[in-house]
Amino acid sequence: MATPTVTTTIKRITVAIDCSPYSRASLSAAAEIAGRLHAELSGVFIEDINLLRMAELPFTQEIQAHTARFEPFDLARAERMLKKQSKTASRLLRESAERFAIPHSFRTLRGTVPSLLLSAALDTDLLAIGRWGNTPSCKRGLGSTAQKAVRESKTNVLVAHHAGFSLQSPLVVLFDGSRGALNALETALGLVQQKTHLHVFLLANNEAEQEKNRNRAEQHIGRKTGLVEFHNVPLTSGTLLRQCINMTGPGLLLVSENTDALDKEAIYRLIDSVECPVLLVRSTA
Amino acid sequence: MPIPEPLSHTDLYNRCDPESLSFKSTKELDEAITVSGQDRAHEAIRFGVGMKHQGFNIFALGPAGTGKQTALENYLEQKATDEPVPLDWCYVYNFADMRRPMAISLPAGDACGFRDAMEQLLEGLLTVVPGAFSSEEYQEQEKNIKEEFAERQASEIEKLEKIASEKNIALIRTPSGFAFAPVKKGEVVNAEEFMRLKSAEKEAIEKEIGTLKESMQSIMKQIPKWQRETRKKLNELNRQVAAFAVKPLFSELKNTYKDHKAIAGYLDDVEKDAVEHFGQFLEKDHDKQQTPISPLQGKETDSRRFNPYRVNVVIDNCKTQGAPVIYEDKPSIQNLVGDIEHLAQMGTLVTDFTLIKAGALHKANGGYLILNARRLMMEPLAYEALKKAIRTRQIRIESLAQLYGMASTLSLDPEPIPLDTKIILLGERRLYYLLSAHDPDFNELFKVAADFDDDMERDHDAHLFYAAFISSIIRQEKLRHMDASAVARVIEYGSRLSGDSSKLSTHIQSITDLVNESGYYADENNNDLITHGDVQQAIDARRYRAGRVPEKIEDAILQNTILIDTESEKVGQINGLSVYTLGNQSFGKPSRITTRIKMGKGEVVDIEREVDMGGPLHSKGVLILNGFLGGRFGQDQPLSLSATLVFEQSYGEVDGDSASSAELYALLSAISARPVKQCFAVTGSVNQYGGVQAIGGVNEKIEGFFDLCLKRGLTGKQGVLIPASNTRNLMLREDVRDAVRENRFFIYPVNHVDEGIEILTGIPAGRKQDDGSYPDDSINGLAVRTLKAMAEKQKKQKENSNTDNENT
Repeated sequence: MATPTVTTTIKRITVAIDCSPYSRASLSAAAEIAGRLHAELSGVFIEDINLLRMAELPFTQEIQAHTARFEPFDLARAERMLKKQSKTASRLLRESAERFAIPHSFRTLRGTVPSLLLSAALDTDLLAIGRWGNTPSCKRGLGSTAQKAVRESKTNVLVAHHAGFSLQSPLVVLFDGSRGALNALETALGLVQQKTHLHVFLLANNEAEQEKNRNRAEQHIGRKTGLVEFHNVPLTSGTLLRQCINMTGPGLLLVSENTDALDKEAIYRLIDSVECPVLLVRSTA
Repeated sequence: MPIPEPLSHTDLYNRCDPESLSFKSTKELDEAITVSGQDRAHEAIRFGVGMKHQGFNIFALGPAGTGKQTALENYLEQKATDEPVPLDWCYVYNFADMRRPMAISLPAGDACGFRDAMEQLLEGLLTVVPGAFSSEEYQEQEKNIKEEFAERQASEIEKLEKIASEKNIALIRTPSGFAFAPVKKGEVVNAEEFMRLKSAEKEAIEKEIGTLKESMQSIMKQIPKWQRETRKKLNELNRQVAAFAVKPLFSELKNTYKDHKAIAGYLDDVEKDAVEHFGQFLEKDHDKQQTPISPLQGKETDSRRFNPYRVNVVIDNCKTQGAPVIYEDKPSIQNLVGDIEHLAQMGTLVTDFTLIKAGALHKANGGYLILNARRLMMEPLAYEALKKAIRTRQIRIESLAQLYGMASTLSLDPEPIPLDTKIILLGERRLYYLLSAHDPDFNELFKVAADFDDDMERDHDAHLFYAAFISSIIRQEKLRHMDASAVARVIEYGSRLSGDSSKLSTHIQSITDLVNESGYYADENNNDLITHGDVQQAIDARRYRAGRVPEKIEDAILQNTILIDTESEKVGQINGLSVYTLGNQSFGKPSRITTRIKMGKGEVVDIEREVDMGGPLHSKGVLILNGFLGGRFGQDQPLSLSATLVFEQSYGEVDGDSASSAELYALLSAISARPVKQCFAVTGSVNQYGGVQAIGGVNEKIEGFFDLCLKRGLTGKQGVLIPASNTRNLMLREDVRDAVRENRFFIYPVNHVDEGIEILTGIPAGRKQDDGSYPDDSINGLAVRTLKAMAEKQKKQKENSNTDNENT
């Protein structure tokens, strides 16, 4: 069986920066990946149009997070705050890019956040986004913007986790022998460093299939890295898979959107529930 | 009155016969020294040491170098060996009040074991606690609790969001909080559109948003409460996990020390603290990653973090045998009661209980502490601290800097340790009497005075003690041994040192020095043993080394710069003898004393006193002469003379009454107009009846005059008149003894001035006859005649004067 063509080149990365802790984590992860792949980093700060509209309303009051007091919230204040956040975002991007000596650019857009972000990422190879943003009820699963990016983005998506990111930590790739899985594996091989452990989770329901997948993965990996471990994971439930991933404690989970073993919804649920950064690889061929 | 015979050369020296010593050399003497001649002091020490009641501490008084310390240490070391070994003491952290570290006592030798056990416990905690908190079970539970909080918060907000959403209102996050806004098709209604709404619609929206805001505020007000609840749950979980993890470690240790109440209590506190502050055991790796200012500082900080779990053993008696006997050479307050040291950390002085240092009182607790009293007094606050410790029977460590207010950093107040120590002060007599007179506490706290004598009776036992002592010095200093003749010479030196031929000096230091110096000359002379000659050479060399001043004075006399006549006869002039002490050397020197008489009211004027150059004792001696003259010559007629007395060419203060007999001889010579033989020198004090009394420094005085005569050439007439009662003090040099033996120099023991004046003038003093008169050709007779003539002349002058007044 001939090895299918894989396309995993990441040359431009768009990172959404809203100055929240998760967006800082996504910036850090994006910068490290960009540094590793010699990619260009493009920072985007979006001034939420809904926030500005709300500020124009005559009765709007802000409930302060740390005091629970009401404070008037007008357009001038909103503009001032957004401008300040934009400057901070620009500075954060510059600092990260300089650390990895990568080319970078920054732009501030105004509009509805999720849609504007997806369109901003259209001409790039990876959209890096924080697991959660500024959504008020944001402490469970993915935030609304991250969910939209995972589900609707046309490009690869990196969902960063608050717990930090390092390419020296182990990488986990879900592999079922499909073309999408090969893409994910290829992306992982591009990211692994000399001493990074690569864990390949072989998703199959029987030994023969597992063996076949393993041979295929081994053939693809070849001599590109020596620190590879294969794990057989039966496709019994998503919970088991999540537990296996969490137990490995990876620095990054790479999963393809187009696999045979898991449907898209299962993959979205997985991304929603794992406790590590995830790189969702979309097949472009 | 018959004049006394001059002393025989055998009277001038109490020789020690080497044959009387039962050994040929000190090599044969290897017995321990048994201190001799200080029975009174030893009895006092024995009593003081035996008395266990408060205040029966000892002050050993006596001149420096008399072996007080050696004697005490020897006695105490013997006694202390059979006494129980005192407790170990350690300081531990006080979890209730960190400024007051707790003192814990343990049986001798156990403190180090306790310290090591606590170190092992700490190591265990650093392993067990991180293990427990990194377990999956714990992390799962922790995560659940945190998620519960997040769920609760999110759920409440979601509920509100949903309610809002049903009313087309969105909850929007602002940069610093939340706000509500009406939405239409997923987007916030802009201001223009809102303004186009009917008033009722606008009011309804505003009302709804107002209600939602209130609800949101209510939720947010509850968040801190939920956080507290979450934290409480987490704390409880942590406590349970930590308690479970550390329990086995503590159980083992508590079992070991179950019978020790203080340690058991301390271990309870440690366990409680370890559970409460489990986080510190998890921070080990984190701290190591911090970049310290200096490697040392980093290490120190890391190491000191766990000090509350450590033990500071201040007294470890694991190698002590018997009760301790401690001599503190520098009794500063820190060295006595201990100290709290500080560390400089980031420019600040910090301390904790591990920096508590024990003092001499701690080390001597349960035993004996010997201190030099003078050094104690010279150390600021040390004496007061010692008294306080004795009085309160406890050792309280106080920082000198804190007492003086020099350090304002947070310091410690360690728990005092009970004190049970016998304190022994060593000091001079003067210091003892000063303290006794002026310090009200002293007599209460130092009730036993061990008075060390300056000398001891010279008998056979004392000779053997000297020999044994010399032997011990020789062994200690690794010198050549001494033959018996050398030992005998040292004994004779000891006798001379004491100033009494029937006694021996107890000034151990002088004897030790002489033995060492003799050893040096024995080396130089290549003698196998230190011989009599080596000892004599050492004595002579010592005299030579100290001889610059006496030689200068002697040269001045020989060159007649200082006028001392040793040949002719002069009226009213006599050679007195004085002793000069420079450093630790004394020497004698003759002084010319002259007297002149004139008519007057019967008074003797002491010129020294008139110009404030005479000390009180000297003035007293001169006034006694008045009494003598009045008693002898003033009973039948008034004394119509006035006499002046002076020490010629004296440029410093004159004190002492040892020249009073010489002054009286000069007066008698002047009154009787009979010359005194200048070949004699005189010493001795006199009483109102003419009795000649003992004086000090007789050997130096005789040798001083002898040396001058020897330089000028001995004529076979020269000599010295000394009080007969000083004969027992004579330990004269060999050359003096030889001159006496060869009748080239004479020493007359005089009991009464009448004996002396006859020797000095060759004319009898004259005994009072039944009619109250004296023989005409006697000194007294001549004196009476002179005084009578003066009285008559004075009477005549008075009568003439009265007649002149009447005529006028």
